[in-house]
Amino acid sequence: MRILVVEDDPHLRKLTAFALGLDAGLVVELCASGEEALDHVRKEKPDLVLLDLEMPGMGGAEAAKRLAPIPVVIMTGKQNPDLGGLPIRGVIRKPFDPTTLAEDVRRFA
Amino acid sequence: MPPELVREGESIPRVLVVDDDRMTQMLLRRNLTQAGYEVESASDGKEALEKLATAPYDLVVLDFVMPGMDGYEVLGKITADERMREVPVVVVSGIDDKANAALLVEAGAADYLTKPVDGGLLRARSARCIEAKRSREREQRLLEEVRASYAKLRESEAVREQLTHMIVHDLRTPLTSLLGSLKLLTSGKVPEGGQAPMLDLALATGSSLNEMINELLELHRLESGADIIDKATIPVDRPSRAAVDKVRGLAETRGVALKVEAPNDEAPLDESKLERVLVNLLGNAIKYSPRGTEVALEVTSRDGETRFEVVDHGPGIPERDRERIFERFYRGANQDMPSTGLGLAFCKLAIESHGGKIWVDSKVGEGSRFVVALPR
Repeated sequence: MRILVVEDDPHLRKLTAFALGLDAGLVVELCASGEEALDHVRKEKPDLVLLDLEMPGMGGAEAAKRLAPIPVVIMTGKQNPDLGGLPIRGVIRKPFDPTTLAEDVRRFA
Repeated sequence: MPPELVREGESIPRVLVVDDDRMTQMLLRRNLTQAGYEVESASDGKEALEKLATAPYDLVVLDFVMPGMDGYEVLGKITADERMREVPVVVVSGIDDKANAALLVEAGAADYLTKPVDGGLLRARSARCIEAKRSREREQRLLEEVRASYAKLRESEAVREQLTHMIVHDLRTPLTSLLGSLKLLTSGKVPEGGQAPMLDLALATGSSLNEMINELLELHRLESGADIIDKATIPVDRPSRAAVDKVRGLAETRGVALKVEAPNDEAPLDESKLERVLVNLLGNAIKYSPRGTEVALEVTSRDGETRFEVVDHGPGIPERDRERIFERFYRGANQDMPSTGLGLAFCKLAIESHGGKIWVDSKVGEGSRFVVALPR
């Protein structure tokens, strides 16, 4: 399964990649912004996008709308994020547990 | 003059005597001048109002019976005018009429004296009126000082809030990554050989936390005045080459070439602070430079100043960000770099305490030139 991770913080992006990399069945690709992600899916077709909600420039909410119909899982550190009406499969809370992230994400696939 | 009337830093009280009768005018003048006041006079209401409108006075001694405008009318104009309504008015009248006196006090006169005026009484009443006015002014000044320090307090409170916000968000993010990588390492799930990059991540995030804390401390030390600028005459290329040496590793990792051009010249500089500023500027330039480009440090001596310019061929800085990037925690359009948001704030504060200036010239898509200009 191919997963695209969209996260603006470079350290957290790496950590997410490592955590998902523990699952040998996942192929992980990385993007640093919503804009980059939209560009990326024009060439590559991931099975799922793990998308940070709070990013500068195009935020996760806008990116989620434009990424449809590709399944999207939102990552957010917000307590009560406004996700009303967004075409998403699920939400992963930050800080996430990196030892179970792969399983948690697979549940939404 | 009663000694308590004038305090340190305050001017000698100025009195305006208004009387159409030359003789009375002169007597009043002499009496008040002897008491130590600076006295001026006017012969009618019109002249009095003109003088009051153009110069500061602490007291008006006003004759009631005058041709043209009488004392009552002049008093009315004084109390209606914002520029002069704070000046107390003592009305002097030949008419010993209690009802008239009451009317004048109601209309805003500070006091009422009947002619012939007793010198001692005039001085005593004048002194009281002036003292009351001065004490109102002192209160006003105090109030303004309190307001100013309150505004300053609120400003530093806002900075503190910003700081709290920054600690919550910016320090938490690397900490999450640090703890996350340690959690992965200790989970037993990481295959042999997969641990090194996670350890690298833990180190990198730990270092950025450390860097943030150091920058906060440095900034705080400069702001509090604990860290003073310590100038010595040194060769200008020494801090320049030292700074370039410190960022050489970063430049190699990023595939960015480094060049330094510095004249064989001396200038009075705070070497360690300048070096830190240059390391900061060079580090930024390298981080934002595309692989294969060059970052240059150009040092030039011109009339009365030494310039240190850091030139890159990165994405450039949009005009709206060029001033704000020197503010604390402000991050411009390029958000993809790990940054504390404090480096340039430190540079600005350090260079300004050095008596110099720092700014950036930039063209989006072509690159940036950070200029530090220090007086010789």
